[in-house]
Amino acid sequence: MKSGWRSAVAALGLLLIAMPTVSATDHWPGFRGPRAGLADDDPELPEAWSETENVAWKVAIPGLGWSSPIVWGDHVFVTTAVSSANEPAPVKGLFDPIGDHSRSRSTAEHRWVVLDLDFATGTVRWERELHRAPPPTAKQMKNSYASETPVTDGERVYVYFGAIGLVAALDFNGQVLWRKDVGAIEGRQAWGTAQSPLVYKDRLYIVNDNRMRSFIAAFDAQTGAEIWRTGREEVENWSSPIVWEHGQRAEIVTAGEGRIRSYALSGELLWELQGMSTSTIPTPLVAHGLVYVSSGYPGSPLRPLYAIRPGASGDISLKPGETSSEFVAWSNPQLGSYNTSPLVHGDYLYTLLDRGLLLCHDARTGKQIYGRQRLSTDASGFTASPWAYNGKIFAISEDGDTFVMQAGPVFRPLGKNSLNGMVLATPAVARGSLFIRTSTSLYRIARRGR
Amino acid sequence: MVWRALPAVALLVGGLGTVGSAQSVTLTAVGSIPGSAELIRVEGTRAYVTSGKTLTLVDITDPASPRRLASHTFPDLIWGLAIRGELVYVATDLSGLSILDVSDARAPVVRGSLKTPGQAKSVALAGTRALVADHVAGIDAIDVSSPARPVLLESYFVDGFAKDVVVRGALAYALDQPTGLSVFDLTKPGSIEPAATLTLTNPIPLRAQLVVSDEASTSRSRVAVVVGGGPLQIYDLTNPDRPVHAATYRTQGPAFRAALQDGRAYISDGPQGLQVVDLSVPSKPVAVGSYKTSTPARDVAVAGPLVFVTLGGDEVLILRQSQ
Repeated sequence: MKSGWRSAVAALGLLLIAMPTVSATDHWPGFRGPRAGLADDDPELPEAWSETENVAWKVAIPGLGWSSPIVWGDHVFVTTAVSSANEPAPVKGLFDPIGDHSRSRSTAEHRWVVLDLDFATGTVRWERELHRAPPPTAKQMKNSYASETPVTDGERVYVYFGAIGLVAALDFNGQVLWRKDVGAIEGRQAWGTAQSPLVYKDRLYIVNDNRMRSFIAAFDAQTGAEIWRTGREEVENWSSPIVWEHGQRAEIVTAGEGRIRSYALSGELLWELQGMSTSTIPTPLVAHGLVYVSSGYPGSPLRPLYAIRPGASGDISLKPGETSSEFVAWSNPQLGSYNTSPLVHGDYLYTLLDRGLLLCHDARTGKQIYGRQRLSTDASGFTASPWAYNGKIFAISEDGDTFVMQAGPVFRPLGKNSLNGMVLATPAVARGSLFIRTSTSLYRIARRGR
Repeated sequence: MVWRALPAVALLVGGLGTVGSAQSVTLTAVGSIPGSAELIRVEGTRAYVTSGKTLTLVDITDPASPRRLASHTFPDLIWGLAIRGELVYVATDLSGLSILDVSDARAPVVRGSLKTPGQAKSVALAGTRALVADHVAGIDAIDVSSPARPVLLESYFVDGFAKDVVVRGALAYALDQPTGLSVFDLTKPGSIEPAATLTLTNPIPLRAQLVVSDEASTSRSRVAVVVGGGPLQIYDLTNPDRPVHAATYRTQGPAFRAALQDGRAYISDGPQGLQVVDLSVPSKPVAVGSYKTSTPARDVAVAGPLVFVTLGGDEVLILRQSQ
């Protein structure tokens, strides 16, 4: 059943998606799915679960990867990096790594692997190792060496491992169709990588922001041939690119510490906006004819969210004292979250702060609907982005506890669903099932475990 | 401004007479505690010295001849500590809060600990509660009525990184980067909520420290000083609901950390050693003394006439002050 919001948007011809046109019910082809965390309403989707309730299957995933699972039909794809040694476990909680808690580089041999699991049973259909070596780069103690979510167009699954600079395409039988070495260069703080790739029509796009030569590049999705590469003045980011289709054009929007930038599909810079926090992580999203871009490093004085109108060109940075302009519909200097990406459901934009506080604003105007509402006093933190279906907002903590809230203008908590295990990966939703990845396992959650 | 030129004058006069209406301070070395040292606190006849993950207890009954009593190594880096009686509450980074029983000073033992949601940077005590500046997680309120079983009651999310927390009477003062200073009224029932917040005039350094004077019962104004590698940011807390920026004062060095006593700020000023600044009139800080150390001064504690300065990780220098 479509919500009123979806119907209204579709009627206006403003349905703006960042992935190939698919039904969210059938497929979840990339990070946060086709509509930035929104799944189609489906009475079969679960709203309560536990280790023993509504679990269709639970499968151990070797190694560690904070990439999200993706789903296409019967295929559930997962990437991971498997160490030959016993690596220190990732640490839950919110912290700013200093000294002992900063970067480290494993010297153990790792295997970078793609898995295809059967939707119905969780059985591993195939496992493909793409690289085997000690990691050439360091990472922050909380990160993994496989944090980029793969993406699929239904024909091929594309993976990008920034830690080793590898981009590859595989068919649905696990055969490697092509692979490219784009270089493994650490970011400014050597905290590892997490910018997921993007597929749009016949091209694969990746953004690699690092301390030496940051770039955005387009590849032929079928052959892997590099079509163009454009340099970026950035030193590290973890925000993934999106495609923004609107009445005037399709463009690739990227968020960065230096600037928000939008590129034509041919690689030229279309517009840019300065005024972000350091360490940009949230991925932009599109709704209501606007693209929402944010960043919220807690130590930055500016933690902004911008709602940007289509059609801009050149530098659209706000002037001192401005909060809106011809192309900035509204902005809020303190609404950016650190790790999580915002969610738009219906008329409302939800911001999940990492400490477990939810805020709600009018998505069109930026007017606050409700201020910080605490989900939990004892959660370690929230890194996975929120998602929604059936009129409910879901937010999973690093402890594996999913908090369920009523969508709408009033904050109303509905319950909590707990799983064992640390969670940083944003879940996927497809075919009446919810897929939750912990540090050790992948769950398919479905009503009555079907 | 005139007062900006005074530190150099104070350095030259070396404690002779007065500077303006403020009395100058003469500092004389009387002893040292050898060994690596970063933070220091003094309570009674004991000094508590940290180095990385290790806390060392030192008997300073005779400051000319301090005696090391015992050490305890925690799982994580020590960022801050608070002492009450025979219990030492230690903020140990990702490990959270640890409570060390030092009733047997030669054999301290951990009575309890609690992993906090964030990264414990500082701890202060308020009755049966410990308040922890927990970095990204904000300010944690922890029930420590049973030291063996500390319980997290709640966290107040400050806007930025919670750096430090200080309790004075019924008020708690918290510092977060980048936003500033929050004041909490601890007498109010229910969740801790700030009664006032103040955006600081200068950027807050990464390793910021908040120190608040303890002169509520005297005629002196209560003041707060923010340091951490930049200028001293001085705030008048006479009206606790309305902290007022009183002055910004630059020492010759980086002003890493500070201690307050009797209206004076003692500042570990890196390569410039120890600086003493009179804050009797918070809006008019006056340099009243200094002591050039052989290696950079990193932290400072004051206990009556004695001033303890940690030096470059090598030792603690003990000075005696006189007027």
